[in-house]
Amino acid sequence: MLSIRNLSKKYGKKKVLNQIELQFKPGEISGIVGENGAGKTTLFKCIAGLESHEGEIHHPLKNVKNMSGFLETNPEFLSKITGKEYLQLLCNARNIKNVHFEEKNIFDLPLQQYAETYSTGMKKKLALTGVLLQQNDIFILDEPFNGVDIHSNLIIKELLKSLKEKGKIVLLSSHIFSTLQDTCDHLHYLKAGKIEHSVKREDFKKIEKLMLNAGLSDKVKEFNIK
Amino acid sequence: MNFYFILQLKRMYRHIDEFGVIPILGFLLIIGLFIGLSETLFDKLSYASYIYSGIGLFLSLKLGYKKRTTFLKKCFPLETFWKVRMIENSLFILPFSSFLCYQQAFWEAISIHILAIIFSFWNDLSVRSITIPTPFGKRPFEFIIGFRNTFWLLPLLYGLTCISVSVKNYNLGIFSLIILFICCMSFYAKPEPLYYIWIHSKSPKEFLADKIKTALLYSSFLVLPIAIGLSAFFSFEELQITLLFIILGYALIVLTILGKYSNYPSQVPIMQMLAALVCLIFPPLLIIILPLFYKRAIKNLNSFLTC
Repeated sequence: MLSIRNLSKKYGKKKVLNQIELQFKPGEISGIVGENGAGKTTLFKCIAGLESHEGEIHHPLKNVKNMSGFLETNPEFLSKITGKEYLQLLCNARNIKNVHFEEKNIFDLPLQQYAETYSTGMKKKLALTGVLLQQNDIFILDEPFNGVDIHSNLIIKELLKSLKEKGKIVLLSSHIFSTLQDTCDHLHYLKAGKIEHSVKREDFKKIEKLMLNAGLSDKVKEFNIK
Repeated sequence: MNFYFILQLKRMYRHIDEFGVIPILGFLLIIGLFIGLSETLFDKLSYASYIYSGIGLFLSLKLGYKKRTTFLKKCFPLETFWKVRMIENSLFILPFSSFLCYQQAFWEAISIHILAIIFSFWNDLSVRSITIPTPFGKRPFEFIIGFRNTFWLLPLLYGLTCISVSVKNYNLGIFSLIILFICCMSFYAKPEPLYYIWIHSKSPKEFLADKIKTALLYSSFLVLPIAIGLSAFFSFEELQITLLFIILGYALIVLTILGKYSNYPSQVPIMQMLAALVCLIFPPLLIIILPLFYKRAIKNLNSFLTC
């Protein structure tokens, strides 16, 4: 079990995460939802070990960082590196040898082409392939469905199911509520750096309602489009 | 349009400032370095004016990359876009053509200026077209990127070594060797995004050992043809000098790697660069500086690789 205790994060004086308490079990998919700027990405970065923080992140087996794969919202690619070389780099980093990348090319990406020339969706798919090839135990996926075509969306959903069956811990965020409903076992609603609600599958509607209420106020009326 | 050029100047100013140098001093240093390198090139090489013109034009092509020009096209109306491109190519080539004039190579100076302006109409240069094959694919990423950026230099340097052997000019061969080592060092000059360090499940010691091993192995591949040429065709005394240069080259590559990670994610500050420069002039200093940089790099990497 991955436990997060009392996690807080400040940027200067601004508190971005405020005493987060969460637990993630193997074989479960947990979704983090919230408005833009609620702190989802920061939370993910803290769990992955990409950001310093207060509080504790604990896993009984070993170093969380070395067993985590992190899919960034906008994966960054070095120039003049092909898709295959990017995957090789990720595998080398975790001492994974003899991978046949063409066989593992689940999204049919042009692996011999420079990754920087890929479209937004292709970049996301390449980064996800890399994270999957690393054979991690914890998967932190920041908006995995964003910018990805329908067919690949279905593949990602199947991949998530497969990760769940293999007993992996999966954390993901998305702004597409239907995908969260289809994939997640738990949802955590993050608002202004605090977990406001944590619900199981049967109560997902509550979160949806909360989010709709937050979004549909009189803002559009007030904007007064002419 | 004027604002665009003022903005470029501001960006340069900020880059130099971030580097830890007083901007005015930085500008003077860049000018001094440019003149110094140009002088050396003209001093050491025959047909220098052609090579020099080629380098200037080749570099000016980089302004025509599609990613850049697409951005410019989005910013400006088409007419202004062409004006901007012509002016920036013209400004870029100006130091080269001025130096050629100083060397009394007037025809070359005029020609490259005209060619640079013509090149400003070539705005679709893209990295999309060809993937340059590299022998370094097994251990990404520095040598893969570095090789693809500088592959055109290799035949030139190997060619120079061949010329040095055929005309029995040892200095020319050593010059090629030095340039090749500088080239390999440059592969490690720019800090990569944090993600590319974070992904490693290695201790800082293992991480650095891996980086250094790869650098030494792959730079040996590149250096080997020059080393063989210089060892086989010159005297035993010169062979000893070659070996010394190779050892110094390896040490400086290691120094570059350690320098990068001891300051990560920031760029290497000017003081450390000066220290490296002093090592180049007085190599025994490396015995003190290398362990110092190593300790700092380990300490710095600790925060990115363990948590």
